[in-house]
Amino acid sequence: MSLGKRVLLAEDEARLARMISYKLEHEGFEVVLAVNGSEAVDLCLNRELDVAVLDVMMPVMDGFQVLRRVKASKPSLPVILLSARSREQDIDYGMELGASFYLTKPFKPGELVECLNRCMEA
Amino acid sequence: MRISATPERCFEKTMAKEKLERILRHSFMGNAKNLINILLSINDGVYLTDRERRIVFWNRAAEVITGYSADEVMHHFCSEDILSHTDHEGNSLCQSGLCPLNQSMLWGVPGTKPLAILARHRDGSQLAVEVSVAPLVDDKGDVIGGVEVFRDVTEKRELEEAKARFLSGVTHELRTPITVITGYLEMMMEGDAGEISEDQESFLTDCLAEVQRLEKLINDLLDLARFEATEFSVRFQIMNLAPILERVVKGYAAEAEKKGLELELHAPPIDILGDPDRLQQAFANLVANAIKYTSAGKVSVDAGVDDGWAVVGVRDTGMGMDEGELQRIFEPFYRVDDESTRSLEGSGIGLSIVRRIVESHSGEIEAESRRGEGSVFTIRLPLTPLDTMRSLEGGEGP
Repeated sequence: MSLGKRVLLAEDEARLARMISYKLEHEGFEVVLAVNGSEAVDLCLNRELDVAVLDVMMPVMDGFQVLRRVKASKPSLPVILLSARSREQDIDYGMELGASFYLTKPFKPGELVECLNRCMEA
Repeated sequence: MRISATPERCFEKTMAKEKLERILRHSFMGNAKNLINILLSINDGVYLTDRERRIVFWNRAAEVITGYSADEVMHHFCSEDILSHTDHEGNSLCQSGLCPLNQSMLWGVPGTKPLAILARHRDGSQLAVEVSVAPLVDDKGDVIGGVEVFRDVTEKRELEEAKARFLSGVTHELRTPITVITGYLEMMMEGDAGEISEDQESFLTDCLAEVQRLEKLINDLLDLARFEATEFSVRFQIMNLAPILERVVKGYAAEAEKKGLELELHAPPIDILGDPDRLQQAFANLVANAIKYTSAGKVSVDAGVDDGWAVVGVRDTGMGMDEGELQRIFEPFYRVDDESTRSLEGSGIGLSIVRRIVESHSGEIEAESRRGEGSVFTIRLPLTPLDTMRSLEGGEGP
């Protein structure tokens, strides 16, 4: 089901990005990496993507800002937020901006895969 | 069995009050100058108003904090542009009907627990202040004016915000490495990186268990830091309770469904002066607990207004508590722990956080429970956070 689906992963922590990429590629996704918010916006708007995974706390532009930009021009692209911020207000804010899922760190790689698959089904 | 977390005011206090009144009468009868000197020498801003909130006294500290001299403000309404008390969203308290001083005079009760709000300096800059208010009465006990004492906490607040930013940064720093370690361990154990031997699998299982232990410890420490921060980071604003409760209930809908529990909410719109973030945290802790300790039946949240109070009840059909447990549940780090709940997560500070939040709003929390018959937690919040002395003072209100 996930075969050949292209995922944007915006995560500034290199080792975390590597761990997630490994898992997603193992599950058959193609992963495109962004290391900050503005790169993520560029890739979201200019590349063919099936889903975007955004870290909330990123340099240049945070995940919420990226999400707002992306939803303004590509509302159909599903977005999953990753964050260490687990306060209700942060989660509500992310969902109000249009995120499909909000995963709080630490999450298990399998949980992210499940969210991705549910985005593909929808 | 009922237990209230807020200690009843005792008779000794009334006795002390009578003595104090006698001392004041003897010291100051016919010599108001002494009293004025005391008020002038206080290092917090102090002003007195008549019943219509016209300023009749303004001390030196008030001049320093606000930049207005006593001459400038005298006989002006304090609700005019002088102090411009607003909530943390910039809404004027003077015009909202929730003005602490006005409420205090209206109900004839003091609000001596400092209320954190905003004010404006003469030069237009914003001040964070903590205000306490009390009504002033004549010989017959009729309210003839009010007193407000305010402290400039702008610097304290900035420090507090820096601390919160630091805490949020640390959270991020601690959670990211744990995510990476857990992720790789799980992937190796699932064979994502090739087959592993039985020994390797058992070593990885131990690693994972220890990382999870570390993760729990970090969560407890963060809870503790947040718990300590609840003491002075309350930000009052004019808010409606209903959407806050809806958000909480919505947030736990999935968890309730997973356990096969009904989750109900009945909440009409109720405007109060409160801190929406903190209150949401308090209600969320209660609902989370109710779901955690209930295996069948339902959890219901009911809100209403009762004579100047907002009342919110969280009721469950869970395992309940015996009297001994009920006595201790508001203590930090206490957990209702037996065979059936040992696996449940938590550091045991949820309810003590709730109590702190409720007390910071001059409210009360009460728990009623019986082993095997479920529990009810009731939070009562004054619409404006004033002291809960109404019954003692005999103040009847409007």
